[in-house]
Amino acid sequence: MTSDVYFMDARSDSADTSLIAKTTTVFDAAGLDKLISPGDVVAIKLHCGEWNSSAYLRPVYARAIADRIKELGGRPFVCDTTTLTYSPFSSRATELDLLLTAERNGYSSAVLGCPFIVADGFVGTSDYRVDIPEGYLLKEAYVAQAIAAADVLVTLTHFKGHGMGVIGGALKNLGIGAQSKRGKFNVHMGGHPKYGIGAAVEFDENYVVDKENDAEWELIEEACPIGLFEIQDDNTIKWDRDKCMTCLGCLGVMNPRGIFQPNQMLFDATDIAIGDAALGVVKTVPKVGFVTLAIDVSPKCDCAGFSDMPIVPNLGVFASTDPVAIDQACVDAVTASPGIPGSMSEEMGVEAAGERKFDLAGAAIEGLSEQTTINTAVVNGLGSRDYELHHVEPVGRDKFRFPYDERPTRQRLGRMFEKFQPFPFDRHDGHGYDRLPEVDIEAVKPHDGPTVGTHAHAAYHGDGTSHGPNGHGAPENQWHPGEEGTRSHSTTHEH
Amino acid sequence: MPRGQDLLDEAISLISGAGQDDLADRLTAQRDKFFFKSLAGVPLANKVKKAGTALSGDASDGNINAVESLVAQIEDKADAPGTVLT
Repeated sequence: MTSDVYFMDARSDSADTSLIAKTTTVFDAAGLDKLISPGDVVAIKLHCGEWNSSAYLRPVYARAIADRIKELGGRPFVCDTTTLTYSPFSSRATELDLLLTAERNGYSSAVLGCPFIVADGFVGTSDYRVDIPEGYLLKEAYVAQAIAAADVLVTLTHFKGHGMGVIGGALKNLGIGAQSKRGKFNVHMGGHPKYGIGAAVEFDENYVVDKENDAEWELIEEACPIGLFEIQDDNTIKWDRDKCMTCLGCLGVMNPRGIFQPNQMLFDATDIAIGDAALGVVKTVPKVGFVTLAIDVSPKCDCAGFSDMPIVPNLGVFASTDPVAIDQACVDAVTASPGIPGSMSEEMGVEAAGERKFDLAGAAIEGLSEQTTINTAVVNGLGSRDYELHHVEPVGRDKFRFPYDERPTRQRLGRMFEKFQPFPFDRHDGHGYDRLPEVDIEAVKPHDGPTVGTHAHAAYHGDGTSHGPNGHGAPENQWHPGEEGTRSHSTTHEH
Repeated sequence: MPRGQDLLDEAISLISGAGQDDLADRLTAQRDKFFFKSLAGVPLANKVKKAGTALSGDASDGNINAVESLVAQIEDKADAPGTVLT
């Protein structure tokens, strides 16, 4: 089976080629508009970004899709889900924290034109369990309640790398992002007898906590939300590993200290589980569509508390009804692209066009594959790696005018300007402003600096202090409107 | 061997060969950490290897300082909580 993927590149020179316009253009081209019937409740699932990350999608893309859904008669809401406590200091593990982070990152109803919802509730236990007998590893998934309850799901994805998932695409937006916190434990292999952290990692039982030299030693106990680590009287660590939920909160504490040894199996199994859990979402929501922006392609996910520079240039926006095909198309586009000099793709030696980027520039450990989740989703029947890429043409700039007042300028502003004329026609013989009639333009164009000297009465000296009209010094240089001819200094330069 | 450790070993050899055993020892103390067993340490391992190559060709103060600065960065980042996954 060959799936259809619709694509517009990242170049822009007009309103209808802006990425915002392209987002809704490919949405329609892929037929996602046909998914929405009047009255449908439509969940727009995205990643609102961690505290201090900056590569996540600007809210305007979600706004544009929400507006389009409203045009079609649907009732949109934008949502994200609570996370695992994947670091001691994560910022989205509860609804309270997630809403604060989302608002700081620009996601609020005022911006989106529709509500922003935490889809799995205050702690992350509001969900819907679904059987997935077709799953390669998982046999059930826990879909966030608000997503499971929706009539339509639009998966709006920022395509990027991920330390554990290797890529963060549409499948991960479903297989992690659309799962409740309870579902995320499932996907991350919590309690799994072979792949979970409790079962899989090599734990150094003889490790002695160095309280004198390890300033953050208390994190060893505090990293676990259910208190499974206990520092003993002899400063060794007792770990009740059988109860480990695999919340990942301790890995960033234990691995650097050598208390845990890296375990690729856990990562690989999670990447497989993402593909299965994604199927659970598609089985739960009647109608699902995908829009993915491959821009600001950072090597690590938006769940990191920072965003590294992109590994490839902005590529464009994709849409499809097949999450496998759209992810494969994005991976192929990144592979085909040259890497950005100075980025992680260059540091990892995969900057050449044609090189796979994410296996090294995205993954946290060597040996993971950017294809694991995609291939799993092929095996469980979620979609196809084979796709036809349709290059979509712009649909005309008229469609993307400012919608609140589409009248041309004189009709909109003429009467207003008669009352409140912003141009001072009454000054300087109708020229409005005090300016020299002519200057040496070429003198300030040389790349090695101006060919004329600094003005004798320059107000600012680059030291943060003002010496001009509103600052100290040079009071004779002060001047106010209506005082023409009273200034002590002419408009000629004094060099 | 993980590529981070591989690159670091090359750097340690170059730096030791240039007579900077203290700096080489400081790097050796970091090599078995997860930072270098994972891919997280590869960029810094690569940088310190390049700086070690420059040092082996010219043991100037500037090249020594460049290596020392990278060793300090590695010591700081290799133990930072949360470095690996996020």
